[in-house]
Amino acid sequence: MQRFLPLFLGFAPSLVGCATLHRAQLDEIDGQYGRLVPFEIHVSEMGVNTKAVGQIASIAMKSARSSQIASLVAPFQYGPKTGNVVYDDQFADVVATTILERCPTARVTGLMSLRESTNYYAVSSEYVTVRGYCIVD
Amino acid sequence: MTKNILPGTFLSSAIGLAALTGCTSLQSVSVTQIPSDRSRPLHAEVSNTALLGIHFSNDFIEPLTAELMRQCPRGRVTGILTKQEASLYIIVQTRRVVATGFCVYDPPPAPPSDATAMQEIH
Repeated sequence: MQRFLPLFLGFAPSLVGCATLHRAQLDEIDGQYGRLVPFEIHVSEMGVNTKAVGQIASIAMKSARSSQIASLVAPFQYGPKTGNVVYDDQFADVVATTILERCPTARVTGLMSLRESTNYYAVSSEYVTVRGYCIVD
Repeated sequence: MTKNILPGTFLSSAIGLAALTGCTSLQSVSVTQIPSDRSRPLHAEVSNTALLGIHFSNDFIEPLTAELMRQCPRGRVTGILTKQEASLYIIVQTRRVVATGFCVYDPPPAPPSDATAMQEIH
């Protein structure tokens, strides 16, 4: 048990999660016609930090092999990206249809689109958040 | 004696000044359609400061839309330039989202004239 205590203490701060805002975009707000009803859509996918996974595995197994494997994998994930790599890059495709579900009148205004992450050292939650107003009446 | 102190003082002053200016980065910019009537400019800004850049949520951005709507009651906010930036002051990071735009009041749609209405019937 005492063996895992330094490991736990080392990673405990990362369990809280560090929030990152990558992009914020605000669209036109039209308050002239009808009543505005706010809505929020939140889609997420798990992201992985390969290097950090390798480091944790190396500490747990007391071997540098995991870190070396992670270093080999890293070049294959090279390139411009926002946040950590995810298993499914289409997780945000449902946003448009979800807006229509929330707002059947299809009269939408004041859309704020956010790309966010919450990092927990080796893994992360990769989010796309859309807030807006549905014009009713 | 003076010779030895001066370079050190100068160096620490230079470092201090550089730290005070902060290291700023621009993270995202977006703009919407710009109206011809730009007589009512708007400005809204939200920010969030955290030690060591460890932020626990991104909720600070939420009041931004409401603030723009407050400045343009029952109007249309357009030509919105949204700018997201971050400044680092040694161990403190400030994130800022600035939105500027224009408040526009569109004239009510004109009723169709008789000639137009006749054309639509035929």
